[in-house]
Amino acid sequence: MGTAVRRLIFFASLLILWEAVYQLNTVYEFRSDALPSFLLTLQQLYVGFFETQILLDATVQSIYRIVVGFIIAVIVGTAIGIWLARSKIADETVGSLVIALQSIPSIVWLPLMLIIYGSVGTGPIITVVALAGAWVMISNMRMGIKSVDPLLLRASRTMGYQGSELVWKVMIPASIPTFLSATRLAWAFGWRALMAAELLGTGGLGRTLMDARDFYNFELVISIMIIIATIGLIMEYFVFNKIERRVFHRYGLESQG
Amino acid sequence: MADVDIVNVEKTFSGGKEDSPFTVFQDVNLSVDSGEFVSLLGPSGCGKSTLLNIVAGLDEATAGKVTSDDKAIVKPGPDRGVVFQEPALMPWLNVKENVKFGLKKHKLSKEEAEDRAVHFLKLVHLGKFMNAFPHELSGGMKQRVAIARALAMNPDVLLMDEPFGALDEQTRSMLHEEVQSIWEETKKTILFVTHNIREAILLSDRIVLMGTRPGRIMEVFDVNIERPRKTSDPDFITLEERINDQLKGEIHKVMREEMGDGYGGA
Ligand SMILES: Nc1ncnc2c1ncn2[C@@H]1O[C@H](COP(=O)(O)OP(=O)(O)O)[C@@H](O)[C@H]1O
Ligand SMILES: [Mg+2]
Repeated sequence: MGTAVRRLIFFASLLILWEAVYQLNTVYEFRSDALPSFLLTLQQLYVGFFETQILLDATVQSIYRIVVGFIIAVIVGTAIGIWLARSKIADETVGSLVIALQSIPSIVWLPLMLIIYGSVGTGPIITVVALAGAWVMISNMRMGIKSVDPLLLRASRTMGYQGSELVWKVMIPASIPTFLSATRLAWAFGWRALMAAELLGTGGLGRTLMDARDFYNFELVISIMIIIATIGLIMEYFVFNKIERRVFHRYGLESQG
Repeated sequence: MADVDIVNVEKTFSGGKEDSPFTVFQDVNLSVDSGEFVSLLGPSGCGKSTLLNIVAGLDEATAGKVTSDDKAIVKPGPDRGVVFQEPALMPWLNVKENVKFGLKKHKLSKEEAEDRAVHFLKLVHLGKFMNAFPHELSGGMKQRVAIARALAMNPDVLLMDEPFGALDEQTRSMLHEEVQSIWEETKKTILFVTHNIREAILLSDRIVLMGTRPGRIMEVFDVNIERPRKTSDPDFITLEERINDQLKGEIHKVMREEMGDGYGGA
């Protein structure tokens, strides 16, 4: 029996068990409040995506926010990381600031961003997502550039490369594996920060999740959790893992993913 | 082609905060003629790599001057190709791209660069591995790519720092043959670092024997043995013994200093 088959059986049993508990409760009422039903959850998902489109809109909005925040985190984080690796002065000053700020849980930035933006719109939330991913981009890129094999740099210098050519042609390509691992983390941190920020802010899957709770819609709460988990899984295990494995293989490295 | 002149060169490493400065060698003088194959031979730590790096322009001499064709060497340049003990290939480039990586300063057209890379890869018998990535190659093959890369740059001087040190005996003797035929064909000036006496005798016109503590040139041997050389040649054996005697004395000296009175060697 293959791993895939075992997994399939496990999850199918889990879902059957879930629905069975729900059905039993309608008869014996061992919990006075309602329990969620698997089938009704599926129905909620269908309705939310194809009829009322509440879930579709929320998903699109959340994906928009994570994508924009993630791109900002990657671009800004990579640039600052390379800068810190290359400049001793920057590393001693800005570098220690980065270390200090890094220890702040990203959601803690939200109230500050709400004040700065003066509204509870998309701006502060994207900023929190970008902040969540930026630190890990900065610190990993800084390490990646610093730990480029000095022999590669020496060899390149004998072939006439110097100054910024060494950065572009040697240091950056040599740090691509580090870069990829960092983007994977930046995405994961950004996604978690986004959900936290939306629970407290407006729009997206997080806010819809809170609304569902306010209406006491058990199945809707669970459908949204399923969407959140699914998007996270797809990105981390399919997109990032696949790219990372391919690139690591080319570099002759073992992928941890 | 070009010659290399090393005049009264000294190298002192300033050391860290606590360490006192450390002079590797002083007053080193050596002239390598254009087209000559010269080996630097000596015990580990005597400064062979340091001297080679100074000629490469990767390191700066503390005193004295180093010139190539009367031009002072101040920084690395594609007129001096370097082959290190480790192949130093770019892992993200395939074999052919790695060779082309060295052609950057040559302002060649795409086709010319391509032809040149292919030509030199065939010269080191890697025609079948042009599209392989470094991690797919054995140590000997990687080192051959590094040699092809250095040759493709068409440098006047080829500097090699124990290029075969990490390889097994068979791969090494195959590469010896390749290097000899390449040198005969291209007549490059070659400065070759090794701690292997046979390798030095097999390949060189002259062998510069370096000693340690303080680092210095002890003796220079002319190798007047007809090529291709055989290790069984009586002249070969005589020279090997002469060099070996000198080198042994140096190695004993190092051991005595490091191990103190406990060292029982002669
Ligand atoms: N960057 C450096 N800083 C301080 N000491 C060094 C440095 N590089 C080499 N040395 C010292 O210089 C001496 C000669 O080194 P090296 O040229 O590598 O010797 P060899 O190649 O002959 O084995 C050694 O004692 C080594 O410890
Ligand atoms: Mg050395």
